[in-house]
Amino acid sequence: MNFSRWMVSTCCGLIAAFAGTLGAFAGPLKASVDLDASSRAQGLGRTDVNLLSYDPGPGNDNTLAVMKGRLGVGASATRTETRDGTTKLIGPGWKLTIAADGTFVHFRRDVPADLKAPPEGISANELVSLGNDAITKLLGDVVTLAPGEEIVPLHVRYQRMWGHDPSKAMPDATRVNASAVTFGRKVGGVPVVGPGSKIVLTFGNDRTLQALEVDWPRLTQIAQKQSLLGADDLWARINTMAKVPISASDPKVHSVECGYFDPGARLRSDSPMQAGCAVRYLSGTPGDLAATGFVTVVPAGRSVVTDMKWPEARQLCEAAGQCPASAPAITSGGKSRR
Amino acid sequence: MKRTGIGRGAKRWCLGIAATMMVSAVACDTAPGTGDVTEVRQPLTGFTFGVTNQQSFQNNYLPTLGYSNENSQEFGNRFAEQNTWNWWYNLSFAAPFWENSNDQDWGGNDSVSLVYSYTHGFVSGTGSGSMSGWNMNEQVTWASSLNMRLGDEATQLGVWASWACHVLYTGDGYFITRWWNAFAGGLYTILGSQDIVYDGWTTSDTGEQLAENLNDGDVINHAWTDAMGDWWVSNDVSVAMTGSNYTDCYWRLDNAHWPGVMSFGRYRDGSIGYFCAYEWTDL
Repeated sequence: MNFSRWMVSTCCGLIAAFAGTLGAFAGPLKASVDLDASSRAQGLGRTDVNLLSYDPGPGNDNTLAVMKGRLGVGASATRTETRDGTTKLIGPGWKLTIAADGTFVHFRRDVPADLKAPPEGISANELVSLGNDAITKLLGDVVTLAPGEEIVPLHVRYQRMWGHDPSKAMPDATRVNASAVTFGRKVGGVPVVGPGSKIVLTFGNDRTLQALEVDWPRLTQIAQKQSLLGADDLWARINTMAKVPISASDPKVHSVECGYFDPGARLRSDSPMQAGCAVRYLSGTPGDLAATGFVTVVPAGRSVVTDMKWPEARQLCEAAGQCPASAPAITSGGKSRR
Repeated sequence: MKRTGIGRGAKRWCLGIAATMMVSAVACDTAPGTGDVTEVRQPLTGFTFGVTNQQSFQNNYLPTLGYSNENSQEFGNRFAEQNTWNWWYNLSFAAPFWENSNDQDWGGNDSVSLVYSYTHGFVSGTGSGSMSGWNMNEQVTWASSLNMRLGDEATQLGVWASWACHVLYTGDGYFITRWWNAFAGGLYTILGSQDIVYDGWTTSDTGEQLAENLNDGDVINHAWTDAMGDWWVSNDVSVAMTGSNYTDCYWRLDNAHWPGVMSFGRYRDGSIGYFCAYEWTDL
């Protein structure tokens, strides 16, 4: 067992112990609930963070070879390379995608609906346990942890089957066809928020793995520190960028997550990973069937590292006149019919 | 997390191909915002599609959807690699082209096999008046599911990918009231949301991802779910279909690929025996 595999095994053991306190419910797990509460009240809750650099990944070919073997796929497959360097292996009833220098993996197996599915999915406790096992067995060498890093269970979700025979007055009772667990990451005790640095495992009711998704860049804390905004200044910045006025206690605010912001494989730039707060909010009140959702991701640093792929960071550096040449606007939209 | 897509758009790709192959007259751009789409590469499927969306709304009667145009353009660019892109319209005076009155005309939803749309959506009313609505540009106008009959005229729409909140809401028992008329024309499937979808930077590539997944031959249900859900942003994602009965409906959901779905038999009017959907919450 190499070091990274050992780290994964050790951390999963810790996660399993923690998961023993979880109830069987859908939605955000304790770490997500706590993060939302603390982020609303105090942002990152610290005065500074060390910036993070991205280290080279294992490479697409290495990850592909590892995952093919562990997932037991590869025969009768078509391999394609896309223009962005992504490798896809598509076989009968499954697809394996490797990107971002081998640190991004997506796998899906087509599985027919469980027509006799139960009304409830796999419990949160069991999902976290199943997820830990899968991480250990399938993702060693892909999910590696540097000293000071942790894997944290964040969320459980369920794929529901809804149906209605039009000859009947009411829909059939919903069933749960699949259950998924999402794990995230902490670096030096600071959560990594955003689409990146996540592991998602989806299981059928028979507990077999139906899909997995991993976006797990290799990170190193660098010496450069970023000083952080306090809560008041942070909310002032959020309100200069949000679509509608919002506050920490506003019921329109679905959730707030502050930490290192990892935008995920596609949107990462060459800039170091810095602090940010992601705010999800609605244009109306919860339960309003006309409300739309918005996400604003605000840099949390007093000074912001230039990142031209991050619109809110770009907005700040443009306001300060410190940006390199801006990227061109993408489009003006479709034409009018009259 | 997003699947792939670090490089963006057909235009850059085509220019790259042109440079590499020393082809001097390749013009792969799709002239966004200026007119109908010029598709210069040979489409592989023989099927057509349209894109229709709105980013900002008259007098700001609704909040701007900052990534509506980007998602729409990237969907079109990528899907046009294998299909023929007929039109891209905004939602000015567009409701008749979504509803039965003009949906068979050029720019109407029945004039192509697949439509990608991006705008605000809602559910209103109760009982027989309950409808799913999509906001148009003009203050305060909308297209109503009650006035739709899709899949029965002209090219006969098969698949509608609708980025909009709420339109596939199933929480009140009136889904069929809202959707019977639209599906009665033979529409195969609608890809949408049963509650909230979030407009933001981190999901600025959902259109491109959907197109790529469809081009890869993914099951359409997975193509939409994998594109719309990054397991972080909290999108509520749904795919609805019709069938002759419960088993058939889910068989179709599980086996509908693009463009193979277009060879499925169409259930119209009284032949619809079941409505079914897969729903994920907070993807």
